[in-house]
Amino acid sequence: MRGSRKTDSPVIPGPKSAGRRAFLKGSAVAGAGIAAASTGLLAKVNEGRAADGEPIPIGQGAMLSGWAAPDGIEFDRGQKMAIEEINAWGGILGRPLEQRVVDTKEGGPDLVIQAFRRLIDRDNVHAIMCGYNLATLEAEYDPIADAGIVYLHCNTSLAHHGWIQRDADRYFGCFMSDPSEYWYGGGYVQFLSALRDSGKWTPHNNKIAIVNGAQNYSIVIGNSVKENAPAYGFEINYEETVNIPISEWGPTLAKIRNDPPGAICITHYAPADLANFMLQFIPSPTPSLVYMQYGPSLAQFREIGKEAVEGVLYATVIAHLHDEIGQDFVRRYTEKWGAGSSPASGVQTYDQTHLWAISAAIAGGPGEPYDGEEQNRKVADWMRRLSYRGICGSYRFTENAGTHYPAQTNDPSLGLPHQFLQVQDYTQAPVLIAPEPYGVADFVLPPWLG
Amino acid sequence: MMARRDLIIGLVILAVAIALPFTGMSRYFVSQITLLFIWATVVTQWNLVLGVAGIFSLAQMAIFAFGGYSTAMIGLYLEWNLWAAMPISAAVSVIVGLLIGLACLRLTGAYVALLTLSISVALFVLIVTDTDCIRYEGAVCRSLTEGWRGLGRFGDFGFRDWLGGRDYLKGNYYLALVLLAIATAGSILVVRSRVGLAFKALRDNRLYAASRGVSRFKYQLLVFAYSAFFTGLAGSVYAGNFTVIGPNILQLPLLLLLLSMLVIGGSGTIWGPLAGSVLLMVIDEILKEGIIQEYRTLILGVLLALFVMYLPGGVVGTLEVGLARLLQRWRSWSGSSAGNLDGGGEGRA
Amino acid sequence: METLIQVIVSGLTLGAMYAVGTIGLSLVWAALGMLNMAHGVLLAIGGYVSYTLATLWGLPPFLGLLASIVAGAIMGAALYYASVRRLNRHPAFEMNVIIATFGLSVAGENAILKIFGGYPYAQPFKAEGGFRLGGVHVPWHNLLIVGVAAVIMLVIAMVLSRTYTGRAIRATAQDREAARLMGVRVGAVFAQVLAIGGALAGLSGVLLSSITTLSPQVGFDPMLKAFIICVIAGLGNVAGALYMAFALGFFEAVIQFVIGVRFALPLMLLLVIVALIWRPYGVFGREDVSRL
Repeated sequence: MRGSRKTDSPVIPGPKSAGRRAFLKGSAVAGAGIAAASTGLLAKVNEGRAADGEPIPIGQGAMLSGWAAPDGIEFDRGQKMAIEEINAWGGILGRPLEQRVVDTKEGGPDLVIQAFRRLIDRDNVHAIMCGYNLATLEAEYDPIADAGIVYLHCNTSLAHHGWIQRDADRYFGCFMSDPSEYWYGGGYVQFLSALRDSGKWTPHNNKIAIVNGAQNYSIVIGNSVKENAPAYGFEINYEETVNIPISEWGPTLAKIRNDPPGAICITHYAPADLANFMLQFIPSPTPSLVYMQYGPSLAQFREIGKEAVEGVLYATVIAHLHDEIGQDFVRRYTEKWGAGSSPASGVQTYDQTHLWAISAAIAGGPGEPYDGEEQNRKVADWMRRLSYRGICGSYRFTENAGTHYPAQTNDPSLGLPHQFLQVQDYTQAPVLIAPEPYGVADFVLPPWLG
Repeated sequence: MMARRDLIIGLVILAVAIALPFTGMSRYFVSQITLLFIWATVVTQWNLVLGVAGIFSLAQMAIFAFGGYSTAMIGLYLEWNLWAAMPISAAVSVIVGLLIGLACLRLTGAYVALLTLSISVALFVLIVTDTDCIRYEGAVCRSLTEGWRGLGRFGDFGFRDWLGGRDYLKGNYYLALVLLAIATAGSILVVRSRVGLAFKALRDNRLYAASRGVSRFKYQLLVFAYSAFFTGLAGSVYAGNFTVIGPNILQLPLLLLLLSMLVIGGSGTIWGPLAGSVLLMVIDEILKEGIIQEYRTLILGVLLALFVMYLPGGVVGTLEVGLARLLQRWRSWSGSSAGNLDGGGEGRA
Repeated sequence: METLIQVIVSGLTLGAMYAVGTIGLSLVWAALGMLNMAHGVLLAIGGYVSYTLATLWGLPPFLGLLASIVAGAIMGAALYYASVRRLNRHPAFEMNVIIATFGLSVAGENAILKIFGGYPYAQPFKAEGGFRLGGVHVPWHNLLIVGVAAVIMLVIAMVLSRTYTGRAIRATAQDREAARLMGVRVGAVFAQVLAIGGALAGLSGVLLSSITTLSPQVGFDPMLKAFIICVIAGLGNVAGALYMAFALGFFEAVIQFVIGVRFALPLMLLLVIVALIWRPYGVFGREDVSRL
């Protein structure tokens, strides 16, 4: 029973059988080019035309200043890189793409709405791709729906499903290209339980300590861990919410040490804060497996924490895989943007732009805001029909959102894998340890548990 | 004579503002100008506290947030119409304004600034870390203020149903314009009245004014309450315009941008706050164009510094001092000895 | 017992961080009556100069530290000659200088973002290792910061009371016009104070970022806390500000442990509000007697 149970949500349906035909249709098209991701297919649709027609403006609202700027800058780069590739292959039916970017600063619903109104009403963009914007509240869905264009984001937010359930027709163009943050919590507990059952990790006890960051994203994950833990035989013994930034973890660690849990789950995600946690944890560690959200995916986490971060686990639902396609992307991305750039973030808008461009080309081109709504509905239909293998895995939309593998589908070719990674050597990139068939390395017991 | 000048200036600006949406400008500019009206309302009211009464309060955005969040919560939890929520939000803001005014009563200068800034920052942190679920929507946890996310789906002013998806922004535009017009007219009356003179006296020499029987207690509370009323309404309109409200309105960069509007326009003058708001919004808009966009934040920062360095009395303040000097020169040249009692004094913050 | 020691050590660390973050700001405020909103970016510049020399160019970390101090002093003096000198002529100085330094700090922070990118970096200048105190690990580095804060406090007190420069600064702070009449070159005093404040900010920036790590916004949070500390201690009271820094550090650590991390800052601000209402001129401040 334990470990075999699927995490399920009251909101999100699993894969439907109706999707099968769409999948077959999609995979037949996607067969045209694997290594070059989508470009081969796009060139085929473009029939050798050069991109010399009337340009198509497409937009992005990215947090280019403020404390989320590092990711915002990568999102901008990812889209730029995709646009260059698409234009080299003839754009969309001979029309080149042109990027328009607006700074959404620290995020927040009002700034995002302003940015989107500008992109739509002033720059006349035919589609918008964003990585994530903090705390948008999906407030931007209404301007998008009013204008009838396609919008892709990685806000990783369960609330997206609420909008689509309420009015799928009005919000036809709003896509969240990754699965919601809800799956992080369930997936984490499921992962812990599988690890325990495999005998690779013997928990000190069945307690989990949760440290949340003060962001909705973190809270949803923390709550979902809490919700799913009992089903797998775990209990929560400590819960704390911390502000950003936090550098002094002494009082929090003192409380954790008073009742050492088998696992520590930190949903706060600023890399420097997380590295500091490890630096202060390691001098007198508790026998706990440490999991953190997002931060460890950045090289700076390892640079700051050095040996102290070896053994830390983290997960992502939207990052490049470590296979041939993923490695090729990382090489091209870092060649273009420098060794300090972060392909794990840039890949989000890169995949989105390619995915949209192919669908738009098959649909006969995108439509302009307002008057082109009919055409954009066709583009959105093609996006839902296609099963697109990007750098991060397979994009196949359930309620206009990326599908979670393994929770929502047990077919890895029909979903984005919930990747679990471990920092095993701080001088090297973290290694992928789950799920199958993507896992390329074995879990290693953290040094403080060995 | 001054009153008539203000009336003419005000009517001209109002006429232009009423006509603007009919020039076929894009929806984007309609919504940006709506935002400008909202900020100008806040800055005009801030000017009464800071420029006219000389109280170095930074609580303006906290009061604004009370207005906006009240409207959002009344719409969301009581499911009231936002129009009905507006007067209640204004009342809440006035109470908050009075409390802050009371807390600041014994303080002066930078101490007031810090006390009011503390209130703002504390409010921000409390909202951002508000994570206790009070209800669930599916599996989504909702707290009272919904933390970082902010509040949404509490309704709007009904313009969307009335004017349709393409034109509803114009409804918000005129609502914000009406608010700004009333707030500005009100603040001109305040400045020109006995109350305004009392404020000036208190600002220029607190102790001397006190010895002449001007009660600081009464006037300070009055100015806080009055400016809180319109600031709260501005928050209310902001919430209804964007149909969302989040804690980012309490962040320091926005507070300082609005303060810059006030100082660059001319703190303590009548038209300075409006001029400063227009100027900074226009500059911000220009800096979003093309290649300059990359350096927008950098250029904006340097411009702020240059403005206060070279126009220390603000645009309007400097203009008025210049005009007064010209007038004086002309008068002495034409042999008139009548002194200028009013105009030149306004350049001072 | 172990918990108690941990809370004390955390309080001491936070206090020391607040103290070094406050010194430069408090000196400038005390001597010149100007609220330097660029203090945060000066802290960041200090941190990045050290990072550039020690990590990017491979020089020894203490050279990086020295360079940060020098760079901070230069930036401080530059702030005077480029901006403050001009602002000083106008009666609205107090307000205008806030806007000007805010503008420059926004520009400076953005320039750092453009040059170094926004990702956090580890500060190379850091004392390694630590010792155990009743089962609690105490890093040497944290003690170093406490020590530096104490030394700076002593040096500033010495400079202000024993040297000609110090007397000129105090005279300027008390009465600018009188100082000018007595032959003090007030402009030079302004430049000196800003340079000293900048140098201290450069040093503090390195120490702070060695704990919090380096990012363009590294100075923002310490600056906000520094304002609180300066005012609650009473403007113009450098030593009082340092005591207050440690008091607030302990207060925060206790709140974090007893109630929860997220309540530390709001309660700290509540304390400030109560303290100001109770003592309108700061805990260590004295009421100024105005004459008509």
